Amino acid sequence: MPRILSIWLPQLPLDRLTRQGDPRLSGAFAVIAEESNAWRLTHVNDAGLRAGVKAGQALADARAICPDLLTEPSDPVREELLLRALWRWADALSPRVSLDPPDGLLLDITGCAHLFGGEREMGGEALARLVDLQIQAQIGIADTKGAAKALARFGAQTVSVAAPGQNAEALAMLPTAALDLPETMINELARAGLTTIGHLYQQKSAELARRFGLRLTQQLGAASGLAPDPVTPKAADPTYTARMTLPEPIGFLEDLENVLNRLAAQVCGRLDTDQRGARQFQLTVRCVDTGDHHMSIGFARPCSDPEAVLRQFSHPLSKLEIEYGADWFRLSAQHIEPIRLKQASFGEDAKRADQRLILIETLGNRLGFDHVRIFNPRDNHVPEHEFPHVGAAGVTPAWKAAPRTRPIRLFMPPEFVQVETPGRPPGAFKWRRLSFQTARADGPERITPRWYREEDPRTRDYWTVQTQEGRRLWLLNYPGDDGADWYVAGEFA
Amino acid sequence: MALRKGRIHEAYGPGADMFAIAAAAQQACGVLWIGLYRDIGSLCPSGLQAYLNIEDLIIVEAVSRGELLWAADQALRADGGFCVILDVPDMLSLKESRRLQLAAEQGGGLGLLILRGGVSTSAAQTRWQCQPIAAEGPAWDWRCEKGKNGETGAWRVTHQRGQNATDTFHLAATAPA
Repeated sequence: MPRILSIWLPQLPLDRLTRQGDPRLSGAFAVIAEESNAWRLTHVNDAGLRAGVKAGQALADARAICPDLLTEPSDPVREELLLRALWRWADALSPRVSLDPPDGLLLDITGCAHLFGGEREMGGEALARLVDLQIQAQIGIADTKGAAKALARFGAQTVSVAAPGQNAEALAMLPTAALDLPETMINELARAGLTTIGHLYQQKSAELARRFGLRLTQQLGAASGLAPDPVTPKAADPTYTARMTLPEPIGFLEDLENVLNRLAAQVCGRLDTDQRGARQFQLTVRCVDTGDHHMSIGFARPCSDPEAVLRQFSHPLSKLEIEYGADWFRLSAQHIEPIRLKQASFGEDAKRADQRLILIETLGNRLGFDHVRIFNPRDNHVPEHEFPHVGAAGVTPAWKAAPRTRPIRLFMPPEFVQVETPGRPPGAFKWRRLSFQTARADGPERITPRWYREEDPRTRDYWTVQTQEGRRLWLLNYPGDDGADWYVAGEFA
Repeated sequence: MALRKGRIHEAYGPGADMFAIAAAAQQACGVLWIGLYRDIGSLCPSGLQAYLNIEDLIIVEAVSRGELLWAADQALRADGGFCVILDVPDMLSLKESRRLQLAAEQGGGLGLLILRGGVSTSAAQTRWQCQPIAAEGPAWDWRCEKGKNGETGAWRVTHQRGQNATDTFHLAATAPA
């Protein structure tokens, strides 16, 4: 008979903030989430509960009850990261651990409990360790996953144990909500007078299935051990890392490259067999006197080529200052992605795309990938918002021709001009200490800014001006003001 | 007009941007525009789209002069013969321009230097003074004032938009060499 331990983490989002040392948690505090267009409280701390606020309340109601309530929107990504960290931590209790998102873990503790001196002691030990981590938990132990989960969430004690073979008895007193059923079904059951699981035992399962659907009988069967429902442990993501420790420190660039070569061959070999590539590599060099030096390089596409790794590391390695030598090295691959195998470049296009990516990598690794960019189109009528810059690495360029004629240079902010002969546009003006005379002008093109954004709300008039000196400028004027100030917003070819 | 590949060419004057764009437009290859923030940040693709294929364009923003020259050197040296437009904020020394020239010879691409800080002795193949002029449509005067092979001259260039599939530049010799 398998034994399952379920850990329920009822206040995971609050615990995450407590662990960060958030000072707001000393008073009434709640984590909120948006649910069908309304902000609702999902987790409330003890001070909040004392003030009369409950989870599930609308934020506006809670504010009315407790004006001092402080809140924070929930952050599902970080909460999941914390849960995954706890999932790795739970390896200390049992080798078979699976996630039970969003706020639980399931451990198959068959044959493990005696190592802790019994099941109840094991639960207590897990609880004590979680308290050390500043995480609140409740634990249920039973024969099946469903029963263990139900006991953890609805059990009377912090560690509730159902003795082997006593599942049904332990569950009998728990409410039907413990069965992990949709809320509508629980309401229907309550309307029929079935509030505890014990009530369900007294009904024929065929009757229950006919009236409430098969889901109910399946859950009931799984919880009482009639249907199989095993814990399926998932292995943690493989890490692609290699380490080398040398008996004597080394310091010559050639030797360092040799070491890196071996590490890269190892890491990239493993990546290759799994048909994966990494977007980032990190190298740690531990010097005997100055400690760890971290270097990292990036790639524009997933890479598993040791040559490329060496090539990109050659610059940071040459910058490294080693006096007494280094004797510990670690190369780790990060941002692992699958590599789609493709035919070795036939034809010019594929080759050219490869060369482009190699150049982006080379430049990005020294200047920073945010400094190597391409233009992206955007539907917008405000000239300076027509084209966001995006990092060139890992993006396929797609440009959609903008509908309006624009200058090739756009000055942001526009540059003030000294008007010498007033007019619309001015007949003569000075810009960047040069004098210009208007030969021809075209305009105005009137642009109203986006009122729904916080930006300069003034209406703008743009004029295309051909000066007698030759340069073609884009003059800007705000007609809503007195219209006397002129600016150069751009320059045409 | 054909600028020799595997060389660097210099342009200066108010029309230098357009000279670089016109030269890059004739190369069917990736274009890198490298410069400091003040030169790169003002580029406007919705204006450039009339001349260049924006999807081929990569912009590289360097934060110092050293990085700027390093990036240009790497881009010119890279396999694939890129067209590299470099916004030079100040004067290049002969040594620096010689390095760029050697890099261009190795990579086989085209280097276009927009000189914003004055002209000096350099290793470039040609040097052009570029001036937009007031005429019926957009027009420029390009004067080649240095050519290593002796090919100097002056041209008046106009651009006719959308007459056929690829926009064309029309050349009219105003003062043949």
